[in-house]
This record gives sequence, structure tokens and C-alpha cells, in this order.
Amino acid sequence: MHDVMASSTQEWRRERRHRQGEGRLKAYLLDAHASSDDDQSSILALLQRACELQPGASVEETHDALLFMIYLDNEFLVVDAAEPRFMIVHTAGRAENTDRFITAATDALPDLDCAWLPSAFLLNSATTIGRLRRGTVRYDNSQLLGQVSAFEAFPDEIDNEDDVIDDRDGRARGKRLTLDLADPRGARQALEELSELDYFRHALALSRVDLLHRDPDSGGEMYSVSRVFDWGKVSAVGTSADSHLAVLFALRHRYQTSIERIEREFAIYVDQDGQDRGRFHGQPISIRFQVPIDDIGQFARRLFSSRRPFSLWGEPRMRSNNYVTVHGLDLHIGAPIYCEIMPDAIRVYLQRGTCGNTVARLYTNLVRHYDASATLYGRGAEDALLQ
Amino acid sequence: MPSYSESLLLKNVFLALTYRTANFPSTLHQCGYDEVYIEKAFTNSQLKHVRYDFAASAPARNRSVLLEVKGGQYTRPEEQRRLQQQVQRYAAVTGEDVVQKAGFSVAPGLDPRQHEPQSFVVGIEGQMDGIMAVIPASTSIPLLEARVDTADVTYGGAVIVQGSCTDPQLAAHLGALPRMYPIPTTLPFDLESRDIDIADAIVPVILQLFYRLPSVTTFRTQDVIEQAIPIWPLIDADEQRSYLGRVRRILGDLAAHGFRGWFEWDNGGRQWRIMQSLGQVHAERMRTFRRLQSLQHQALGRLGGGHLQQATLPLDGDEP
Repeated sequence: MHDVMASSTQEWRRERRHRQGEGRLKAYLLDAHASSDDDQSSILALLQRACELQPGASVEETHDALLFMIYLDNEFLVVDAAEPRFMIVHTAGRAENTDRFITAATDALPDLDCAWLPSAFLLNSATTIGRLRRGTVRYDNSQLLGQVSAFEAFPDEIDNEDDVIDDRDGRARGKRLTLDLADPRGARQALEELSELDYFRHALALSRVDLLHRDPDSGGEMYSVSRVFDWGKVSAVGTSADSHLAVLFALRHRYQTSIERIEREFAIYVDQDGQDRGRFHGQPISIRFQVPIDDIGQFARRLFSSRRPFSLWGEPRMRSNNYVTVHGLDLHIGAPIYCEIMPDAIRVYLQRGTCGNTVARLYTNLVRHYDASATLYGRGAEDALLQ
Repeated sequence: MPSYSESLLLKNVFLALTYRTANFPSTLHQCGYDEVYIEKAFTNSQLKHVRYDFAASAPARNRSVLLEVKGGQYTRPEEQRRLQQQVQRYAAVTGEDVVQKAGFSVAPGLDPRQHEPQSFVVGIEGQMDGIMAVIPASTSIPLLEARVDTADVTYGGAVIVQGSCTDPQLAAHLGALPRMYPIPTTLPFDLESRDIDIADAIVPVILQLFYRLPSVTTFRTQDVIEQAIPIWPLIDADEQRSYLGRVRRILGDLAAHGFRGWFEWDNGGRQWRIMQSLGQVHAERMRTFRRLQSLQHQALGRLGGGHLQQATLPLDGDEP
């Protein structure tokens, strides 16, 4: 890891950016819901199923029971399953190969998903784990609103190594905004100032941040700059692989804490036995919009159209002009999800056993594809989740 | 046409008043009533059996509210006799009963013997005459009238129409609200619900079972209900049988019409057999789900008898 990081950093300094396809130390944070309390053989079986999706891919155990090697044609990946549910896959392979492998696995396997990191989570992670160096805004409401293109801007600093994943649809409708806030001192300030402008206020959805982290005892010499994407990918340059790992572990901890809280406190169920028999637990989680939905019927229809990135199936029912209910299915994990959609909010109900990652995916993508100022909360507006 | 049964709407109203969610008041939660029990059964001070539809305890305030929910007019003599008996039993419920027998918690430092429970009978505005005729004004059980629009599925507050609330904090929060709020439907259906509402809730559960192929190829009606209704374990055996019969009939209808060829009743195995796979490849599975969406639309339209409120939601083949 140290060698890869050192060489890629020299290259990065020379050119200030990587050409597409060149290997940079990177990691993917995954949510393997079904493996939450599984043993080595179950994790191995899951990784084998992932490898079966790509010709030439294979997985091997190592001497460490929770460390696995995945070999692709020209790359290898190291799977750290120390937290079996929230795995981290490390690689120095070329993004075009490793992204494809990860995307194919998370697309096809119901028990494996990306970690979905909403805009506010990215921003707060950057400022609590390290320092925000750069932020990239990508916003596109065409999928949910289906309007004619109104605005488009592409800065030339954008690193397109993730474009295959970021723009899977490729068709531009509605408002489509891409901004690169590269000023290391002013990214946060720029976001705040832009949000004062009407046009940008509800479109400043961060799709990735560059996070500078320094090893605390190195006097500033040892550091990493981690590029954290909203789908759980983290690529890094710098002088310290330990710093990169510290960022990854901190991100995983923040994400894991949020997801487990969603599942523990909000999933709906009743106690079945003993004196607590009949005790009701859970409640809906709310997503509050600052941009009211004009046509909640169309909105619901598009949201539950089975299409990416929401991957939700369902038949919306208009209860009134301001109220739509949908008994749906999260196609990714194959679990029922019930939603109530109103012009300014969505209530999301999770069954016990449903992965909290469903909420993370829905919220992250609503921020990116509808209202960047939307908030997710549990027990009241002051109880924000996934921030 | 009402979308949900009235008693289900009332249960969902009071359940939602115990938590905080978007666009709905949190009247009970604000007064500390956030420990919730559904279908709670215990014996009163006279050792008579009581079973409340809904109860919420405020451990930090050493209080609880217990609700008997009555959707409908209650004009039939047998309904009125039963309600009368229930009210007599509720009048004999003491703090000791709910703490020691029902197990409601009391915050440390508070005396469980001082726990103050209060029972209410709850009905819907405009449907209280039958209920009021049964419950004498002299009883200690107040009548609460909820403003519920069953067509729009909205709630606009609750008013005491007979008796009084012993919790001054709660009494101050009761009353008509300035607007109507969409009711959170935490409990999706009951035996009085229409077929369309039951089918709406159970189809995603059936499709979830398809994900378990090939290791699971069959399912029971009970598997579907257990997943669909969170309070299934609390429903008594007789009622569970009624649910099973009702849902089995709807599953049969779906299997014969909307989802024909997807699952069928296996008479020998006395269970449902899954007949098709969703597909292994992502793109194939997505195509399958779009087809299933169309089938669900048609199935609900059929079960709704043409009353499916989908006018603004056409199935557009050319959606993005």
C-alpha cells in the first residue's frame, strides 16, 4: 500500500491528475447485509458469487480468516471483512476494471450494496475526519422531473474516472449541474455562498469530496488526500497509507453507526412474548424537502419505476391530491418498503430485518436527483440522520 | 369511497400520535406517551379480562392512556352490549393493574402505586351517537371524537365529547386542529379492509419471496401475512384464521388473474408454488419488474372494481 501510494503521489504531483485507467490506491466500502453475523465460509461464498459474474475472476482465502484476495484478469483486490457486514475492498488496480467488478457485483447480488453517502454526510465527514480540500457537485433532476434541459456546465478539472458509474443513464433532461469547487481553503465557503443564490440553493449536492488527513504524529509530513465518492468509493494519494486507512475506518464507523441506528430504532415490529408482549417498536423515517413536489403522482411513479439509481418497484396509489402511498419493493435487496409521499416530505417505513442501506440509497439519490437541501430525520427535525 | 377501514384509520392515528413524523401532530408524544402497546391484554382489579386496542404509557410521568377504538356507528344491539361490557371492565382498571399485570414501565424514582391510567373510548366524528347511547355520562370513561376524513385519509384532531381527561397536559393538547394531516398507515390492513388494499400490501411481500429462488420454491399464506402485518403475532387465533382465509382468497384471485403463471396453489402441498424466476442478470430482472408493475396495476384495478384511484398515474410505456 505504501509503495502504490508513494508512486501514484509522485505521478499525481507531476500531472496533478491521473489519466483514466491508471492505478491509484483505492477502496470500496460495501454493505453486505446478509453477512452481518456470518462466518468465513459465508463471506467466501458471497465473494465467490461476485466472482462468478465476471469471467476470469476468482477468490482465495488467506491466512487471516477475515482477509480475502480477489483476482481479476490483470488486477487483484484485497477484501477486509474484519467487519463482515461493512467490508472494505482495497485495490491498486485500474478503475475501469475494479469499478466494473464492484458495480457488477452490487448490481446483481441482493445481499451486497455500495455504501451510499449522502451529500451532507460527505461534507461532514470531510470536516470531522480531516479537512475539506475540494468538492464536486453533481445534480440532475431529469429522472424524477423529466423536464427539458435548462443548464449544463462542465469544468475541465473534473476527473472522469467514475463517469461510467456516475452517468449510467446519459440522457440529460431537467436541471443538470456539475461544479468543481477546487479551492482548498474555500470549498465550504463557496458552497455556503452559492446556496444563497436561488438557482443553486437546492442543487448543491456533493457527489464527492477530497479530504486531507494528516497523521497526527508526523509533523505534517505524512498525509493522505482521499477522494470520497457518494457510492462508497475512496481513492487516495499522499505519503501515508496509514492515513488513508484511518480515513477509511473513520468513514466506515460513521456509516455503520448511522445504518445500525436506523435499523435498531426505526424498523417496525412488536414484541411477541413475556410481559412486553404487544410492545410496539419503530416509526417511519422522514425525508423533508424544501422544494415542494408539483405532481406527486408523477414523482411517485418515476421514483418507483424500478430504474436506477433508486431501484424501487411499486404501484403508487393516489389517496388525495397531496398524498400518495406506495407498498413497494427495494429491488436491490428484495425487501418490501412502504412509503407515503406528500408534496414536502416522504415517510419511509422499514420492516424489521430490512437493511437500513435502503434508506441511505433513497436519501442519497433524492438529494442528488431532486432536492439537495432535503433532510433525513428520525425523531423530529433536530434528529438528523446520515449527516 | 373510503380507502381504509375506519377502525384501522383510528388505530393508525393514535399510533402515529405517539411518535414524531413529517406532516402529522405528535400529541401523545409531546405529553410523554411514547411507550406503545397494541392489543394489550391483562386482568383488571376485579380479575376480569380486558384487552385494549391501543395503549401508550408515559413512564416519566407515571401515566398511561388506554384506548378502545370504535370505527363505525355501533347501532346494532350486540355491538352495544359488548361495548357496555367493555366499558364496565375498563372502569375497574387501576394503576396497579397496568404496572404489575400489563408491565407498563415507570421511570426510576416514581412510585408505581401512584401510576394513573385513563381509559378512553374513541370514535369518529359524526358516528358517535350509537356509542354515546351506550356509555352513560356518569362513567369515568371519557369519549373521544376523532376528526377523520376516511376518503382523503386525513386527521384533524380529537375532542372529548363526554367526560373529562384526568391528565391536564394531554387535555390541553386535545382539540380540533387548524388543518387536516395525512394519516401515517403504520398498520397496512385489517379484516375490514378492501381487497385492493390487502393486495396492494401483500404483492411486494410475494415478490420478495421470489428473491429466495432457487432455495425456496414455495410459500404459505401465513408467510405472506407475517411479513405484511407487523402486529400479526398479537392477533388471536380465531381472527388469525379469518385473516388467513381472506388473504388466501385474494392470493387465489391474483394467481388466477393478474399474476397468472407467476405462482399457483399446490393443493397437495397445501401451499403456494413459485412458477417463474425473476432472472439472474440485472437487465433481465429489471425488464421482469417492469412487466410485474404492469400486472400489479391491472390486478389492483380489477380488485378495486374500477374504483382504483389512479387517474393521475397512467402507466406510460415511454417513461424515462
